[in-house]
Amino acid sequence: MTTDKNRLGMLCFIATETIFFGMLILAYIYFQNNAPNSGPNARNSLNVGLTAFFSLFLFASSGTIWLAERSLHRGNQRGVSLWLVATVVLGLIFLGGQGYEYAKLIGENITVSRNTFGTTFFTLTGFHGLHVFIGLLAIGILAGWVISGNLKGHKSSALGTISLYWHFVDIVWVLLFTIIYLLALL
Amino acid sequence: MSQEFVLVPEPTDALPIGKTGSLLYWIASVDHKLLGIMYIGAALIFFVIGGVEALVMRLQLGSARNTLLSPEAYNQLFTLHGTTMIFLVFVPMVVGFGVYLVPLQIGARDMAFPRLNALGFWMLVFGGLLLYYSIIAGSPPDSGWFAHAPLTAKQYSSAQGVDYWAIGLLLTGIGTTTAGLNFIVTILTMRAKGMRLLQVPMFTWIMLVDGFLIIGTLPPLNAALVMLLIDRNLGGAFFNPQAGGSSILYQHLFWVFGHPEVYLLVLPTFGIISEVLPVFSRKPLFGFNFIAGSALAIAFLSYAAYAHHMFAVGLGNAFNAFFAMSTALIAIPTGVKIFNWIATIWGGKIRFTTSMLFAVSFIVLFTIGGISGVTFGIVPTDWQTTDSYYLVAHFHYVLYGGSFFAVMSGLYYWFPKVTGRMLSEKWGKWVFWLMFAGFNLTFFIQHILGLMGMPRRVYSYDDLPNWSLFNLISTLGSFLLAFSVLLFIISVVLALVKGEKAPDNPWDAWTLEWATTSPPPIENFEQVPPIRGRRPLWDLQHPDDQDWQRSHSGEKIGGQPHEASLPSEHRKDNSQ
Amino acid sequence: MFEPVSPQGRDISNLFILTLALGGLVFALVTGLVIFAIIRANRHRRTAGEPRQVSGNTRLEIAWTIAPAVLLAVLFVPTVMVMFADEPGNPKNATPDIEIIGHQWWWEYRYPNAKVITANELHIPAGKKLLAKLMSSDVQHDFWVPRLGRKMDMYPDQINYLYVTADIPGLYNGNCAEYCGAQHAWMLIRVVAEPQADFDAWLAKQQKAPGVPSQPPAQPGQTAGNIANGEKIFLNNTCINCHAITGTTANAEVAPNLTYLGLRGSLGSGIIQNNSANLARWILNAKAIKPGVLMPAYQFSTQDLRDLVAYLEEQK
Ligand code: HEA
Ligand code: HEA
Ligand code: HEC
Ligand code: CUA
Ligand SMILES: [Cu+2]
Repeated sequence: MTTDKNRLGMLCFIATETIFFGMLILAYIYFQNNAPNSGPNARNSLNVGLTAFFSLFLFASSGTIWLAERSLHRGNQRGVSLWLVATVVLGLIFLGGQGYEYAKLIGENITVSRNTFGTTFFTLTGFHGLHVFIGLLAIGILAGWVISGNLKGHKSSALGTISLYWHFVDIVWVLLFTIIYLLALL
Repeated sequence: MSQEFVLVPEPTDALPIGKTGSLLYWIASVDHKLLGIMYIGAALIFFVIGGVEALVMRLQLGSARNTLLSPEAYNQLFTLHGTTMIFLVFVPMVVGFGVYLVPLQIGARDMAFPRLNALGFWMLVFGGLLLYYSIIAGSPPDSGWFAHAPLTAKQYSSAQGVDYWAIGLLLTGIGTTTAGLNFIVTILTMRAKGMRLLQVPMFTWIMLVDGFLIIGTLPPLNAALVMLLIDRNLGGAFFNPQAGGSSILYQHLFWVFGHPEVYLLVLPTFGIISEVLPVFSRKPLFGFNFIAGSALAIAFLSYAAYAHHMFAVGLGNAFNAFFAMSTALIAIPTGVKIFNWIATIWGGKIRFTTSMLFAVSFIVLFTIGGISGVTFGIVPTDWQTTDSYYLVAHFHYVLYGGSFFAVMSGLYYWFPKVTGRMLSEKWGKWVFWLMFAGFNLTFFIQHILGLMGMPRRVYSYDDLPNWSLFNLISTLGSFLLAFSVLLFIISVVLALVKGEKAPDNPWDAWTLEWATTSPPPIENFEQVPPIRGRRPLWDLQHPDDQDWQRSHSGEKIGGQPHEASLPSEHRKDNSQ
Repeated sequence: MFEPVSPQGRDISNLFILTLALGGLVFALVTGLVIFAIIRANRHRRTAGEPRQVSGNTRLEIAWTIAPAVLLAVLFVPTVMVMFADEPGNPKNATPDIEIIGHQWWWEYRYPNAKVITANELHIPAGKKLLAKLMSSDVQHDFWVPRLGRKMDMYPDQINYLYVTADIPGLYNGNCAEYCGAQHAWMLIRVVAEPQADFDAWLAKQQKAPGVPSQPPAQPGQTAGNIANGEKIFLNNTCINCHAITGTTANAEVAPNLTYLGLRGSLGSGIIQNNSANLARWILNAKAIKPGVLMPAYQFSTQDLRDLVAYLEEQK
């Protein structure tokens, strides 16, 4: 059992977020099954390949933040900042991909108000994107601290806590990608 | 013995800002005691607001075809009343008790995250202010406290009221979630050295369970509110049948929050009762482990029972039968609590303080509400009684007769500790009896009205035999009730101004909060007594009759420590 | 309880009484124990020292866990039986006898076999178990006539079914039981159960167009309305954008069907009695009677109003 209160707090926070996303996912599945749309849906509107490509960056960022943590444990300050910056870059590429996808969909007049697919798709991926963005802010600030030397010395649990969050955001995307994109291939 | 006293770790957080008692001192505070007081104070203020709303409603209902209020005004009133009472009275009330007491009961300096604690409080306040700002903006919400779709869709509620309601609740919801998280971390990681998890006082244990309930319960509400806002403001289709959405999805999301929510509100009040009854019966809590376990059972079952609010939706017999069963199951752990409380006072030496009067009447009134709850779980009778005044009576019995009586009991019990002043017992007896009479007068007859066919949420009704009379009785009762609340407020003010000074342990109680001064110093304790069992102060006072040297039935079993109070290795480290 | 007049209602009522009786026992037990504990405690009050520090008893715990469980299990059996007896579920092929459609804030009743549409007053043959199909045109409503049995929600996006039965002829009152907006309070239900023959006659009449009712003999001291002119006024005003009357060009369905309005007992879904004076007030300013109502106010000359009222009220 962990007794670090920041970690425990983050685990609780992740629990609430899991349920929050769970509800949004349920809504998505509910409409996929109960109210088949004429018009745009996951099958005819999404570019699975492209999103898969951008997803790789997000998945990779989980690895880089793990490497950052490892560097911290080994006392490699340069490594920490390097891997954190890499994480931010990877995350930004993912967000860029999502932005591109949104722009394309909206260009085809697929929006929140188009039909239940539009509503649930944008809500779900939008909230995930928001979480990625918040995570990137946190990691960015952390990287700033590391680079300016503020994190040096006392062993902070900040990185561990944030990386927990980041892995969670990643896992949510694995789920979303499976449910929205991969299942649409079936 | 005295060498075993455990030192409380030095505070690592910033000390209070501003001069003691100044506005800044309160606003900038991150101290759990000040925040607890502010939570409870805010709850009481909102209680008066919500209560006055109820009084105006009762005035309108006092006679058939009354024209005091327009239908719109009445609908806004019951929406504000319900929302206020649930989210802005009861939530801050129980959270306030928790925030104030949990660190004291576990011998800690503060909550695990003091700043988060302050954030949670202020989010709740701002959420409440936003809700009430809707009145100034000219369009209070009027969709009822659960705001079923599709009445909340733009085409049926074009005014902004629903948006204020949703954003306000979103803010309070996030604030409450942070409090829940804080309880969990505090209780799991900050207990005084030597206090094992099952040795915490029952109130604290229940706040731990409640913490889990909070963080599991509010996210569905937040999700539903977010979807509602997307529907209303971005043209989303979630709950809008015309666009392919589902109005019933909203009900699922709301009630998977709404039902656990009511247990989230009631559990801490069970905790209060579990502290008060033993102290005024001079006996330990009967069946601690069973009460503790039943709290867990209630928390789990509450999720499984949510759709008993949807028996009339038409979801089919299989669906309804499942939820009928889970609803019935909840009665069992609740009954376990009731019977354990009775066993606690059984054979005790009862002192009828005001606090104890409220606590004992809680047992009876809550049972009435609980049994009417069970009649809803019998699906076919729910088909008759749902959304009638019988339901209004049910939830006021559990919420007011139950929970609020427990809250009153807790307020009388801990007031001396929190303020350093005694509340007048003479006034207290008046408050109790008037409140008891007023409450039953107001709400008992509503059972009958409901069975006579009066639906809830009607601003007016036809002049049918007895309807006016019974409603008038209820209205008169509500004014008696209001009078008792007024007396209580006056007696609080009197106590604060010129009340008798309170000793550190006026009730001769046994948990750690009574081991420090009244009111406690900013750092809570310099040292806490050794913790061997659940009643450290009893053990301190009775060196030759320690809790852990006794069997359940009260016999001495010699030096064998009680199963739950084996000295831990921590203590060895600490005892010099 | 509920004075039921249908088998469904009786089932529920009996179950409710059983539940209340058992609940009453539990309540008596709890209250009795509390009072007894207090009395006992009073006796011990003067003895010195602390009472015996009893803190638990596993056998008791088991007893008071099992006993309620048994009680509830026993109750569960009739619960499920009544559920299955009284819930039509979703009969796929059955054609409903009546269709009930909730509107903000009035009721539409259709008899699909007879192709009759009427509003705010449901006529049924006494003693027959009818299958009703429930729908809503806007928000959530709920059909509840306590003496006939259970209530059932109505949704725009879900069709529900309900048995409607009244064994004894009579007038049964009910309410919309799901909050549906400003005038939820005045969305009352009137169910007229009548002997089969009377019902058949009523239904047959509804199928025929009322045409222009014959002018009633003038009452002394009162100016009678001109019915033929009343029809013209009705058809030449915006009334027909919302209302329908069988056999005329008025066939809109967004507001209560007014065919044979004169036969109904109330106006505005129960808020006022149906008589000429009230109808005139209603037409001039329905919102003054039922605030929030979705019908506009009208300005008519006294004579025109009289004619219009006569035209509507004489259809009976
Ligand atoms: C504090 C809040 C609180 C509590 C504790 C409860 C407790 C219970 N409630 Fe209640 N309930 C509400 C607040 C609460 N409720 C509110 C606010 C609503 C309305 C929402 C709205 O529509 O606005 C509501 C509505 C509501 C409904 C929906 C009705 C409807 O809309 O149609 C149902 C249905 O099953 C229900 C059931 C129960 C049950 C079975 C319990 C049980 O937990 C009760 C258990 C307790 C006992 C039974 C007594 C003690 C037990 C014994 C002595 C043991 C022996 C007993 C037996 C064997 C019977 N409640
Ligand atoms: C904790 C919850 C709680 C509490 C305590 C109360 C308390 C009261 N409630 Fe409420 N009620 C609800 C929760 C609660 N209610 C909910 C959830 C609903 C459903 C809403 C919905 O349908 O959406 C509801 C609905 C509801 C209705 C049904 C409305 C309808 O369906 O049309 C009624 C009607 O009688 C009512 C009455 C009352 C009354 C008379 C009180 C009284 O007990 C109030 C007593 C308190 C006071 C009267 C305060 C008095 C104080 C003073 C007078 C002080 C004077 C001022 C100063 C000194 C400054 N309530
Ligand atoms: C915008 C639509 C609209 C128009 C136009 C309209 N009505 Fe109505 N009317 C309604 C609605 C809606 C109701 C149901 C009100 C309720 O009970 O809540 C109603 C109810 C009534 C009733 C009562 C029916 C009952 O059974 O309770 C009468 C009579 C009536 N209208 C007559 C008229 C006449 C006559 C006119 C024209 C002069 C007219 N209406 C124009 C919408 C309209
Ligand atoms: Cu229709 Cu309430
Ligand atoms: Cu419930």
